[in-house]
Amino acid sequence: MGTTVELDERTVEPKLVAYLSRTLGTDVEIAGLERYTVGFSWVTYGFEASWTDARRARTEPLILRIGPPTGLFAPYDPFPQFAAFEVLHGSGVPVPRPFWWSDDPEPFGAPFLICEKVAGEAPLPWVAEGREAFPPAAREALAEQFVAALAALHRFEWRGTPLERLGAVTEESAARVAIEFWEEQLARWAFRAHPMLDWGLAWLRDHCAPAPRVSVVHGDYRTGNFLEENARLTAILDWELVHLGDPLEDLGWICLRSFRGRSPYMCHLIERERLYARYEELAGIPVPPERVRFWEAFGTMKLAVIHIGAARCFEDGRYDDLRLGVMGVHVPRLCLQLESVIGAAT
Amino acid sequence: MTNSLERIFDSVLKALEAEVLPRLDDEFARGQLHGAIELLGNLKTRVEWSTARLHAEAAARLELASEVERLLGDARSLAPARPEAALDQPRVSSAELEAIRERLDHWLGEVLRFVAAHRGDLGGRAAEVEAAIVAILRAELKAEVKLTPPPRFGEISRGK
Repeated sequence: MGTTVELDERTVEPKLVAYLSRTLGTDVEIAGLERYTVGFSWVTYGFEASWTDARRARTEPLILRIGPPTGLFAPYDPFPQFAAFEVLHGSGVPVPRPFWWSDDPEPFGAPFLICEKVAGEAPLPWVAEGREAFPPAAREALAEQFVAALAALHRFEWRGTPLERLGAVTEESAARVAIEFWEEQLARWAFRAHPMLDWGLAWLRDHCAPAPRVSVVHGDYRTGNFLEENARLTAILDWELVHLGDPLEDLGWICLRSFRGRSPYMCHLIERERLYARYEELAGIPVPPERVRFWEAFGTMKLAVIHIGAARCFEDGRYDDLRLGVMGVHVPRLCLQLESVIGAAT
Repeated sequence: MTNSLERIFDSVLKALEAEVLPRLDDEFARGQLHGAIELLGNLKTRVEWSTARLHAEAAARLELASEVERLLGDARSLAPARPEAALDQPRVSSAELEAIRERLDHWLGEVLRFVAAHRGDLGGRAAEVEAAIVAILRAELKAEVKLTPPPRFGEISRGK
C-alpha cells in the first residue's frame, strides 16, 4: 500500500511554482490552478505558467498530471505517456506537446508529467439513453478525424524510438501477452471469484490469433479521451495504457457497448461497418470482423477488470473517490456484456 | 456484487467526510451531508446482504455443481474436486452463505479452465459443461443488473 499524498490545489501550487522555477532557472508565476473532475486515475490540473526566458516574456497554458501513489493503477510510470507525446507530437496523431516528467517522488510526492494544455472540450460517451452525443454534422467530421488519427497511430513506425521500451511483443504473442496482463490484474484486485470472467478468459485464450502487425496501441481510445473544438479533434488524451500490441485491440475497444449505449454509432461517432472500412482504407491494415469481435470481448473483460480494480482501490480505503466505488457496482453489467459479445462472436 | 458491506460503508463515509465536506460552502448542504453521514453510520452496523438472495445463489450453484459432475461423467475423477458445501442447516448466516457461494464460484472457475484445457479429450461434453455454467451465471447476472440503478458516469464525470 502506498503513502497518502495531499493533492489538493493549495498543497500542489507552491510545489509546482518551486519545481518550474528550478527547472526553468527563473522565477515562474502560475495562475488559475484547477483540478479537473474527469478521469478516474491520474489527478489532472490545468494552470497557466508565466516566466521570462532569454528572449521574451512567456505565458503557457499547461497541464500537470500526477499519478497518486494509492491510485487505481499505482505505482504509476509517466514514461509511456510522455514518450508517446514526444514521438507523436507533430505527427498525424494530435497529442499535447510534452514539457517535463519525472518518476522521482519529489517534488509532488508522486510521479508526474507536465504538458501543453490543448484547447477544446472532452465530450463524454455517457449520455441519456436514446440521445446522441453529437449533432450529425459534428459527428461526421469528428468520426473522420477519430479514425484517421487511429490509423496514423497504428501506422506509426515506433522501432528506433523511445516507444521500443514499451515491451517485447511479437505478432504471435500480442494477444496472449494482453490477456495474461489483465488476468494478472484480475488476480491482484478481485475480492471474490468471477466465473463468468474465468469463462471469458478461457474463450479468449482459445481464440488468440497473430496480429496483422505490432503497433503502438493507445489502450483507451474512445470518446471521452479526446478534445474537440468546433468539430475539430484537437488532441488524443489519456495515454496511460499505451503499449505495443495488435492494432485491432483499439478497434475492439471503440466498439464496446459501454461507450455507446444503444447508439448505432461506435463511441457515438461511426457505424461499425463504416469504422472497419474507413480504418482499413486509412491504415492499410485488414480488418477481419471476427478479430474485432475478439478484441471487443477482450476489451469488455478488461473494462470489467478495471471496474473490479476500482472497487478494490476504494474499498481498501486507498483512494477516497466515490466514483471508484460506483464502478464496482457495474461489474455484473460488464460480465453480462462479455457473455453477449462472445455469444455474438461464436 | 457482494463485496464487504463494512468496507463499502467505511469507504463511503471516509470519502464524504474527507473529500466532499471540505468542498461544500453552502451551510444547508453541509448540514444535510452531516445528516447523511450519521444515517449511513447507523445503517452500517445494522445491515447485511440479502440472505434470501445469497441462499438462492448458493442453492443454484449446488444444483449446478451436481449437473456439471453428471455432464463430466467419467472425466469427473480428473476434474478439480468439488468443495465441501451444503445448505442442510436450518439457518445459515449471510457470511456462511457468501463463503459457500465463493467456494463454489472458485470451483466453477477451475472447472472452466479444466474443460478448456481438455477440450479435445472431452469432446461435446466440454461445450455442455460450459453451456450449463454460463446459463446459470447469465440468469443470475441479469437478475443482478435489474437490481442495479443505471450508471450515472456522465453525471459523475461532469459533476452536474
